[in-house]
Amino acid sequence: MKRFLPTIKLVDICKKSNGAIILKNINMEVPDKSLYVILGPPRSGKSALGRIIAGLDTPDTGRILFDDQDVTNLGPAERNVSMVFQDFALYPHLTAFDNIASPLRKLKLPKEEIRKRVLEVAEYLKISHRLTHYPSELSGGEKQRVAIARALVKGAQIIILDEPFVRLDYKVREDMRAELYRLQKDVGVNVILLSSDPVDAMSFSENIAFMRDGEIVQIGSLTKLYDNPKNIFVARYIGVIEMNFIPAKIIQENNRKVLDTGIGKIALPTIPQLSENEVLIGVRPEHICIEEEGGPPHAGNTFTIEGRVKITEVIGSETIVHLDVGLTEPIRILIPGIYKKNPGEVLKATFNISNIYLFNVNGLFICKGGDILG
Amino acid sequence: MKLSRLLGLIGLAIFGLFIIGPLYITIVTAMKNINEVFTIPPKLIPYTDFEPSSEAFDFIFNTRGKYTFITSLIVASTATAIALIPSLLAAYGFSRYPRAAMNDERSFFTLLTLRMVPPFAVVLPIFLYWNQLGLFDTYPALIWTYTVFSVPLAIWLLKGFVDEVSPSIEDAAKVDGYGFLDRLRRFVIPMLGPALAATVALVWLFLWNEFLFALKLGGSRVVTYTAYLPQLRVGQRVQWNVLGAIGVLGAIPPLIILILFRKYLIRVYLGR
Amino acid sequence: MPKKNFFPIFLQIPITVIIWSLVGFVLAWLIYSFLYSTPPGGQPTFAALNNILTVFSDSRLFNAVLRTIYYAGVGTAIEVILGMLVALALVNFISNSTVRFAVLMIFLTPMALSEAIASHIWLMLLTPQGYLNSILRFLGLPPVGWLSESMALTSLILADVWQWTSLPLLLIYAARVSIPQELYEMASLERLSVFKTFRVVTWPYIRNAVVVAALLRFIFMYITIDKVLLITFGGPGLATETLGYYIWMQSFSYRNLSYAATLSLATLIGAAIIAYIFWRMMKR
Repeated sequence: MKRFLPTIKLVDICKKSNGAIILKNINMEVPDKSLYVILGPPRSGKSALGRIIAGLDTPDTGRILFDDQDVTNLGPAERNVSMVFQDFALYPHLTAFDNIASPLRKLKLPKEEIRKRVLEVAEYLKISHRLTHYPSELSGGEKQRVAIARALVKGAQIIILDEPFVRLDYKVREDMRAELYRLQKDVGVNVILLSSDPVDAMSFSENIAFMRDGEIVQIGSLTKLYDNPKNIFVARYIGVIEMNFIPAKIIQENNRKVLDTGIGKIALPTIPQLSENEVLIGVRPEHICIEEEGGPPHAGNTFTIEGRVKITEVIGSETIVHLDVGLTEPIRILIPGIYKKNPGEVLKATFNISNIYLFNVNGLFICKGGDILG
Repeated sequence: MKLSRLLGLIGLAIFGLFIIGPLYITIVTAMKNINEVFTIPPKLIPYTDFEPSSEAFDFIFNTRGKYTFITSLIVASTATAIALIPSLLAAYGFSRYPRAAMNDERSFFTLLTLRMVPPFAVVLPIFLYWNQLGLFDTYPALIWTYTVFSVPLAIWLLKGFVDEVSPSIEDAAKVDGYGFLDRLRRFVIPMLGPALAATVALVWLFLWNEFLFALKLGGSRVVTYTAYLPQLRVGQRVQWNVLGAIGVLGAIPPLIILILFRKYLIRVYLGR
Repeated sequence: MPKKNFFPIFLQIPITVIIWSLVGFVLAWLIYSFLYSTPPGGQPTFAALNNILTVFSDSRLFNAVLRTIYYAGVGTAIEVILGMLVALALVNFISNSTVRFAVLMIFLTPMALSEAIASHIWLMLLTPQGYLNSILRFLGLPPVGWLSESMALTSLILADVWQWTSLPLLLIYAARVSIPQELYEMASLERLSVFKTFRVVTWPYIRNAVVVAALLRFIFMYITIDKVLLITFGGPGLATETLGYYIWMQSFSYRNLSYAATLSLATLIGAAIIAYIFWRMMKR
């Protein structure tokens, strides 16, 4: 067994199932002692990848290296990997204590040692008082903790969590995210989190790998994915509310390039060379401000849109205003605080051009407005 | 009460009478003296029409009759026991590896065909087979034949049950380090629990009730209670009361199983 | 290159060994005996053509098949319809679920019994001096020839109906109780007649159960010869000789091994076809 927490390297992992390609050329490096998030929509291959890293499945081609040691053909126990499953996978016929003790019993440790370790982990996860209960008697959050305890108890170096928060209540989720963070820092294990919830990515923002359709689209920190998304899928996924997209044609006016959106024009000094004359402008809802009557003027390069309110949604302590500006879809605007705008009410909104994202017709990211304006 | 409801209940009562009638008559016959079985007027109420007699049951217990039940018990139980683990392994394969060779739909379909094989079409070759091996009228012959015929039913039932054990439990067990046999022993089988018991019971019942092979493969040494029944009709005097008594005794295990495992009965036919 | 996992194959080996220990010989013998006939003390001669010709010119076989179709067909029809009526009546007219359950258990009893026991129960009833005639006589009515040439087959059907109506009953009952009550409430709100409600609400849910039950009963009625073997011995004359019983006779009474093998083989092929149909049905 390794003494240090290993780095994980995936080289050219491919997998097919029933003829369909599940994973395509996955190359990934997970630094040691990190909390790594693999983010992606359902069916993107996250679970398949997680199972391969864990050792539950073998890839068709490619290798998995822990600290440069090839573990591709080793089973999960041999790799010293633990996993927490989406449905917790607790053994229903065993008490919480026996569930947690399960990996230790396999290792044939003495009873006293087992007892000591189980109690230690249970204490850490604050479930000592529920150890004599059966899984059917535990709440969702408690089951989660038992599952994590079971994963921790054998001292695994890598813990994989497959959509761990999906079955929990909203409030419990928040608690568990904080727990997980604390856990990773305290115990120092490598944690790989598979998730389809962008909020998870935003909570653990240092290492994120975005997956779609069996491929890794982009790897980076949250800031990188937020500011420099590789394509519109990444841009839409990362962010509390989905990004708005406005199609535009590039026309030449005077000696400047202008983006003609149909509801207004944006002038830019230059635009990188493109094969087509069309772009997609992305604007995040949080970057749009509603113009109040008599409010302060907006500084810098701004673009104004005007339209009628379609719906307002209140989420938590923020409001989303859906503004119908004459495009196929309304523009979503995120405002802090709770506002009530009546449907049909006419509003003006502005956003700073530095904040726009430019994508080509194939959805690939070109640059941000700010990159051009300087 | 609405007229339709009244008629409906009357209909149900008539059907109930239809079902219970012959059963009642059998029980009553078992209590009779041979002379009082078929009389006119028919004697159907004990203590009123006739004095209950233990003649039929005495006959069974004083002659080889009682041994026939033991034979049935041995044969059915042994065959079920032998068939169980191989069937569980196969059912596991069908459930967890549906695309692997020998575990796919086509193989499962072949198993289904075995259940639909008419016994009358294969009794002769099987009889000749055991005869040539010198095993006619022996326990191994009947037991092994029963084992072969109980496998399809056992797999049919078990596959449905294994399907219902969540695969992620086994994933967790794999991660904990347990190999296949360990997983089966410590997790799959305990989680199958009552389903396993139901499978054993239902397969056993099928064998307990079997008649054709017991008749042809047994002789004078191996006689199940089902094969014993026709022997009571040899000669002029048919021992009707003994027939009734055997019927009553032979029906006890099926009724117990019906009551205990009623939830699972429908799976014999539907598989789930 | 994906690794080939041999483990699942190992799982299937034990039952494959068990099954083939008998099936192999059975198939081999049947095919051999169909192809070659060995008269006692003689040499094997090629008999396949002869066997096939005999099959097509065997009127006794033809009648046996017709009788089987009649027996299985009428029996299945009665069992399914009766079973359906009782299942629906149980649900509609008994609301207390414990009572309903107890009644259902009683109705299921005959199905749990051995065919051998059921056959003898009905022998007691049907035999000329048996209970049915005793009761009739007691009521001043003339006795009926239940096991006479004209009535024997019908009596067998009656015995089978007694024993096996509970199977369609069980399957249809299970399907019926899975129907959400709201649908019936909607139907009564719309003042649908009993027949309309049945057609629109009940039938779509129980249709599968009815079909499966009918298929199962038909198959098992043509497969089982226990009742014929124990109650009527194929008689009187040939009145109750079903296909299965005819093969039994050829096998053990007439000892025409080659011909019996031919017929058995044909029946097995039929069984495979029917199993295939059943399989396709189950997949839906």
